[in-house]
Amino acid sequence: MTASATESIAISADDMRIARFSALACNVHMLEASLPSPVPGVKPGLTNIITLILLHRHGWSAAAWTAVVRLFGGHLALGTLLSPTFLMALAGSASSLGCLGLLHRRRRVFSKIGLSAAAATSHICAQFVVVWLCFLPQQGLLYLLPPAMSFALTFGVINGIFSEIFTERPR
Amino acid sequence: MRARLSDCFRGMALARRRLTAADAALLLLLATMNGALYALPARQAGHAGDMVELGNAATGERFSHPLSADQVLQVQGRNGPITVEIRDRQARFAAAPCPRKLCVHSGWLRQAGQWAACLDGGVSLLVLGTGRRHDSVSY
Repeated sequence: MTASATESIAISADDMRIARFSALACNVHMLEASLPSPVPGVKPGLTNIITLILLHRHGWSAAAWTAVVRLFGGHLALGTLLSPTFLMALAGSASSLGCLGLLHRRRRVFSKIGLSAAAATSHICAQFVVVWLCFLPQQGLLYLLPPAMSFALTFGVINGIFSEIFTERPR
Repeated sequence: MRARLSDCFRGMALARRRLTAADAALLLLLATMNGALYALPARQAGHAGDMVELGNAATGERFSHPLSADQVLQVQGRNGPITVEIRDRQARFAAAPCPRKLCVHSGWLRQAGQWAACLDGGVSLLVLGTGRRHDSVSY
């Protein structure tokens, strides 16, 4: 009898954890997509709380894997995979993960509030760069950038506070 | 519910305790950057025009005028005299006899590709220049 391909793959505890958190992040992503937004493109970025918790507990690699799986899974479920919004999210995620990776090295210096605010700001900046370069090189975009960055900073701080609260509690 | 509210206050106190000097400096920097963006004159971005093309459907004529020379032009439209003003590298419909004055309310045009028209008078303004912006974008 031949063993099936799935039996030969060893699933580590890390894999299980990433899968669990990715599933949770995908659900939060879809839940967030259904929330009404008063301003186009403004979202609280609740999945970033999951990324920050993973970053704190299991390191950058686990956080990055979860963010990538959530990015593809969430957009696949919503039917927006490879759409302009996906490209924006991809650029934003890459930028914020890079920012988190840099600042996480100084985790004794920065709390999750600082990490979250910086990641949210870099996320929105990367999105604007993509929109400007690929879709809408119009001056009107520059009018939207300051309020979008204000929202990003505000939600970044709030998400950072929630991350601090959740990581304080027993696992 | 009361317990959750107290959790919230505890969380805020926790966040305040965790906030480091580096966090505060980073937040201040980001907030300053954000404030500077509000102050940034966005209207200076984009491609400024060089000329304005004045089209008159009543006569079938199209004339180009440089935006660098300030002047006031009188055009005889279908419904009467229309005043076009060029000032500070911008152009606009300054006065028109049409009832709703939509052309006048279009305001100043300065970016290459910007366009306004007085449909009643059959007069249009189009800013010309390098690097035209999009007419419209839909998704």
